[in-house]
Order: sequence, then structure tokens, then C-alpha cells
Amino acid sequence: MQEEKSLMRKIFRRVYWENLSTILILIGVFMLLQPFAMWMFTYSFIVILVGTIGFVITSHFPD
Amino acid sequence: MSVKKKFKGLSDKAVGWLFIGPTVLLLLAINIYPLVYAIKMSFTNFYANKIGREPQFIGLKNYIKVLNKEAIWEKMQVTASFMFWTLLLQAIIGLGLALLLNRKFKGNELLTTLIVLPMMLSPAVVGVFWTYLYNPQVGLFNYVVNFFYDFGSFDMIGSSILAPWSIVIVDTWMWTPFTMLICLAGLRSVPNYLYEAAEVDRASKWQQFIYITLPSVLPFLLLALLFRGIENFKMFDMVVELTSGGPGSATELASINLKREAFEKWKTGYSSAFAVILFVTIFGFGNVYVKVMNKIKER
Repeated sequence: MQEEKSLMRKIFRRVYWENLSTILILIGVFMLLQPFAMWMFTYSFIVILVGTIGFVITSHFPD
Repeated sequence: MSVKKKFKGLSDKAVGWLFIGPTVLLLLAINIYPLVYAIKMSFTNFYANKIGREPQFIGLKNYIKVLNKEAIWEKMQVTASFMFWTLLLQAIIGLGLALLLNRKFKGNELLTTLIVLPMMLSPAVVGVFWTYLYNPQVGLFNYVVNFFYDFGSFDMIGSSILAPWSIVIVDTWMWTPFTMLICLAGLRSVPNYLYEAAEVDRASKWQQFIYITLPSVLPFLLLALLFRGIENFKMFDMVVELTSGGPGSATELASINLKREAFEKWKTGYSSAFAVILFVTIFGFGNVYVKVMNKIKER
């Protein structure tokens, strides 16, 4: 039980998931503002949305 | 019963709620309710000028429309270009001014006050008086430029090539002091003994700048740029006063286009979807901003 708890803590560490969400937000913003491809603009919002929701959730994970 | 007696019976928590209650209510009424309403509207085909017509639920159609429209993509590129040049210029000039004002010289305080002045003005006022400055016949800007090199008469706001630069110049003029102030705070937090140790190690001024000053001031500069990035992404008032998005759509930023869709074409549902997209982007940006700020606090 204790081992399982520590494994969960290891997997759900705030730093990793928060960084991942931040990267997703930044990629999404780049996709939204870039002048290269229309498809990137089309999918930008979903990337930003996933990143933002992810950030809100993961910022409540333990350190 | 006296007021004193009435409050005597309340717990600390209740008194706390009594104080923040009006603010929370105001926040709910002014911010949260319109936001929830806009999100709800973004899933409908609502037109605010068609009174009596019930809005119908159309799912994600508005979002798909916005994200597949090339005109919106173009406006995003105009916004991106505006953000890129303003942030670049504000970073370079802001850091330069901060380095200058970090030295002790006569009139330092007066110069700092003068540099910070544009930041205190209202963006609408700045837009109006820069319109006069850019006037091709009597504007001071043309006179100053022609004083150094004779370009003849040119219209900064009227030309589709120069107009984007006109808004970049005004935003840089107005907001460089902000970047400068944040950088100055960063510079003043660098302990002097680091420079003394570098002097002992015979480090040159350039090496001191690269290995001590720049790493110390960089997080502060990043913070200022992130803040300015968020502000410029939703820039509206100054540009509307200056160019109204013209000539053509050369300076039509995303927020100006949004206003046109919502209050000139009255596509309320469609523009709500566009507004939600911009909101989520800014919210995401805001999260990154808070993260960077926390990192700086930890240092």
C-alpha cells in the first residue's frame, strides 16, 4: 500500500506535468500565431485548451 | 441593538465574508457572469440585432468556422508581427535604459521620471496625440525624420507598409519604461561583491556583463516581456485611436477584428467563439506568467 502510494507520488509529480502543460501552451500559442501553415492554426486552440486545463489540474499535484 | 453589539456575535470567518462579500458579488456580476454567458453564446447562432429570434444550439460550428477562416489567421499574423517587434524593441531599449540608469550620475532621478512618463498616460490619449504627431503636413514626427534625411512627405498612418510600424513605434515609446523599470529592479538586486570578485579575477567589463549582469537580469526581463506579450495580444484602444485597423486591414489586430464581427456585423455567437479562443490563449499565457513569477520568487 505504502509502495503503491509512493509510486503514484512519483508518477504524479507536479514539476513534470506542469512543465509538460506549459510546453503544450507555448506550442499552441506558436501554432496560433505562426504564418506557415493553416492546419497548425486550425489545431492550435485544442492544443492550448489541453495545455491550459492540464496546467490547472497539474498545479494541484504534490511537489 | 448597537452596531458594536451586532458585530460582537460574529465569528472571524463571518466578518471576513462580510468584507469580501461585496467584492465577490461584483466580480461574479461583472466578470464571471458575462464570461459564462459568452461561452454559452459561442455554441449558438445568436445575432444580437435580431430581436425576438431564439438562438439555436449549433454545437462547435462557430469554433470550427473561426479556426478554418483564413481572414482570422491573417489577423493573428498581424497580431503576431506587432507582438514580435514591440517585444524585441522593448527588450533591447528597456535593458539598455536600465543599464544606463543603474549608474550614478547627476540628474538620474529626473531622467527616470521623464522616461517613465509615457507609461502613465491613457492609451486612448496616446493614440490621439500620436495621430497629430504622425500628420504628414504638420506632424512633428515627419519633421524630425526629414531633419536627418530628406524623405519628403510621407504618411505613417495612411501607408499600408508604414502603418504597422507606426503602431509598433507608439507601443514601444509607451511601454519601454515598464520593461526598463523591471530590469532596473533586477539590476539593483545583483550584489556588489560579485562584481568585486570579478574585478579581482580580472574579468573584463564585457565578461562581467555576460556572466553576472545578464543571467541576473534575464528572469526579470522575461517576466516583463511575458506581461507585455499578454497585454499586446489583447491590444485594442491605442490602435483603434491611431489607425482604426487601417489602411485596409494592415493594422487590424485580432481584438479589433473581434469587435467588428461582434458590433458591426452583429455575429454574436460567432464572435463569442472567437472571444473564447482569445480568452483561453490569454489564460494559458497567464498560467505561464505565474509559473515564471514563482520561479523568480524562489531565487
